Amino acid sequence: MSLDTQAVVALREPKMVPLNQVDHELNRIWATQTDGSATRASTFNLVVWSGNSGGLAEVIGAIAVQYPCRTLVIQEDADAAEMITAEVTAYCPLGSGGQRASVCCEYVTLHTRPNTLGEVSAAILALLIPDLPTYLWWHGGMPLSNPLFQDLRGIAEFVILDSATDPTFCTFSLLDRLAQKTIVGDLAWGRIREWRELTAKAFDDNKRRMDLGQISRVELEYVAGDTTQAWFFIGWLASCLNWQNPQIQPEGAVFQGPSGAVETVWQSVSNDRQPGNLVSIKINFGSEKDLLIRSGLIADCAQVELDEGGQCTFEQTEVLQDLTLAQLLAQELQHVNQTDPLYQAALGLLLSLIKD
Amino acid sequence: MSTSVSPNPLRAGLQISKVPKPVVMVIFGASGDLAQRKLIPALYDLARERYLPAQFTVVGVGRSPMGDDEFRTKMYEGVTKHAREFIPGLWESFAKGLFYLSGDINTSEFYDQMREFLATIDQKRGTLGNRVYYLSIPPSTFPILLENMGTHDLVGTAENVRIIVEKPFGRDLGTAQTLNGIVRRVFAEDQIYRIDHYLGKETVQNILVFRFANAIFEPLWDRKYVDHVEITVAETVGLEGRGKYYEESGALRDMLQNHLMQVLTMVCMEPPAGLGANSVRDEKVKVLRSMEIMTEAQVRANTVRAQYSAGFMAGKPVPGYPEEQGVREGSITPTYAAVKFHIDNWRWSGVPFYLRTGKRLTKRVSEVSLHFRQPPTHLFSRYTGGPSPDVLALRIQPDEGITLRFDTKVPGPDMAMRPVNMDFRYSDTFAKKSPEAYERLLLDCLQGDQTLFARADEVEYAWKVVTPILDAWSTGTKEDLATYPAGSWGPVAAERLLGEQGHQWRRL
Repeated sequence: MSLDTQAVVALREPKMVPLNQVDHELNRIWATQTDGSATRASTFNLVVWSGNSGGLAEVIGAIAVQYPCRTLVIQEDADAAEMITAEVTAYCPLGSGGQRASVCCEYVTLHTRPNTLGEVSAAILALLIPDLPTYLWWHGGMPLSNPLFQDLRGIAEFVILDSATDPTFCTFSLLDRLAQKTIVGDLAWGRIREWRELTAKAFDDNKRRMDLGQISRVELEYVAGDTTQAWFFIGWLASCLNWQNPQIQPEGAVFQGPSGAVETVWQSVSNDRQPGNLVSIKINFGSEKDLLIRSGLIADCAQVELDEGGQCTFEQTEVLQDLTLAQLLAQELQHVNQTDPLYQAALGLLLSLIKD
Repeated sequence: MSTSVSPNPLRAGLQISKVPKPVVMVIFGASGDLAQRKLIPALYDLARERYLPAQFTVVGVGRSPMGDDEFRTKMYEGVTKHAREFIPGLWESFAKGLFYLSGDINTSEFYDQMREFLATIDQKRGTLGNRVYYLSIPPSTFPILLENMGTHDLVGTAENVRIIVEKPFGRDLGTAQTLNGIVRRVFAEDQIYRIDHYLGKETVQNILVFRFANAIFEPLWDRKYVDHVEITVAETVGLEGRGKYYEESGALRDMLQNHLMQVLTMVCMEPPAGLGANSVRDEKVKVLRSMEIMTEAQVRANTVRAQYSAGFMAGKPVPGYPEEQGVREGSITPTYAAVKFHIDNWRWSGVPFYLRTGKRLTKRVSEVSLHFRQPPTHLFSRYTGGPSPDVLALRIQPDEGITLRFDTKVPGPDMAMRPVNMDFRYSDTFAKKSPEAYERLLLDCLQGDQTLFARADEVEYAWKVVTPILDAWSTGTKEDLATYPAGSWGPVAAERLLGEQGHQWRRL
């Protein structure tokens, strides 16, 4: 994926306007673009809860360059002059060579006082471009019992969250229930996509595929600080291979596979990458045969090696890049029909793993 | 090569749900430009996106003596320049799968040598005897190559051996039939992949989606509503050092018989029974079979051939065609062709299809436009502007997308109207960059999908339609050709071709 966080340029300085003037103000911005260099286009509404953190403009700019949209950012602001005030602008992402991209993103920030959050969803509803899908990206901690989240998820067809911000049984359990009712995209699940593809590819070979039934041990290394990705990976592998009877152990779990017990362990390592990111996967097939996928040896790549009796019988380099927040979001914005069933299966397994 | 013993359970639900079997792609003519600029960069991009199996291997075959390392260095230059994205760490692993075999394809010994070489590769790389042969060589060398492949047991079956044939597929109907005969004596039709890179373009494939996945357009897609259709493939380039080749081909053979006819069939075909290769190709062939075969008089009335004269491109003077290197004195090779076709079937009878292509035109642009009939009553004809015909334009390159032009009222007390465009651009809507045409086509071949490759009868019917024009154009003198200055939109005669029916080329 080539989507990166991009610098953005505002078509005009953000301007505070009353809520009922937002559309009018946006029209005024576009009316000034008479040279045709900036196009007004929208493919969806993106509602973003940013809590009290700013600095999302670049991420959203990177999204907008690929997916033109109207972005409505809700920002909690104890010092807001009124209960809800709107700040309106349009951003054009800067492409290579400093050229302004032709399609720009309408960007409305709603500054809300903490005690007025309940009224925000009504304001958002009035600002949505009609008849376009609406994504809700909840940036920050898991909001599952937050009343504003409950309101907003009612007006959005798609909800994007990051379970790694609060990886507890309670969170996963609520997520599991939410995914039954609405389309959920979980950034934590998106982070292991490349690893799932690499692992799957290692078993495209017919001979190696036979070994899938012989797996006896899986060792994962991840960057210390967050086990969510490791859990999801094990959950995915176990559900794809139909491993049964999960039993949690310290830093691991045991399953019943087709050829007996499958021991899985996850170990943290320290490095300067994003906490929680996977570092390596070692799959043992019950004898002196291991498949090892490890990152970090070659820039932007992973190495896949098969070791049989101390001899490397297969090696391959594959592209593996840590995804930026913008790339993860872009990935989720491509899901339009349903929550990924593999995610739901992995989530179910993960719940049975960590319930104790 | 597309099926496997049992599906990989870890592939379920992943974006890449199917990867081809391990295979050796043997590229004949690997020391040429195509391999370095297009094929290897496309394969590298496929590897980067994890579409290729780990054991994927390329054996370049050429007459020039070269070692594996030298071949890899040459391909490295091509990949760093032409791949969509270069990741240095991946190159070493990819390059390990590149080999070079030099030899003379005119000798029988070469094929023994090649068979042994490929057997060694199978051992080393685990490619299990799976082959794709890519013929990036002149068609004149096909007979000896194919005959030897047959006699040296290099042919296999559709499951494990495929052959990709680059255009031109013949020079006219006769030579196309001969060429098809030669290829089919050795390979079965389901092993043959005739590649026309135009079909690999996303926007050409989108014609099918646009027409058959949206219920609102198809009911308008016929003689009742469509007044005429224009297909333009305009190039700004001249001969780019290929004067000798171009002298033998010209605009009809180089572009119209293949690229434009492919687009035409996609625009005009009936809904296929399914998306399987033969369902789609059957419908395309039906269109070609319904096309009017012109008489000599009709060729005179319905076609325009022209050559560019000196002019200006991007503010710089450029020579005319006769002054280009490799062009024969008094050449009557057309660099521009405009043709009015009729399709005699239930859907299109009476609708003229105007096709034009040329070199050294104003802009590089490819587009299909459907021009709709005027409303049946003249409610607005007395008002300022009056209604203008609605136009649906499918832009193939650059700025790929779709535009619908329709009339709207100009705000104010008067009933004035003016056409406006409703515009969809691929680049504005999709995050994912479109793959290069060769990426898509090579992957399809590796997966055994022939949908986007021309079938023998398709090629022959296209030639059947074009050959009378070629015959008529093969004679005459320079006076029979119109001229147009480089940098213009073509000759005046091409405007007249449409003007006779009150039409005009869309301004692009």
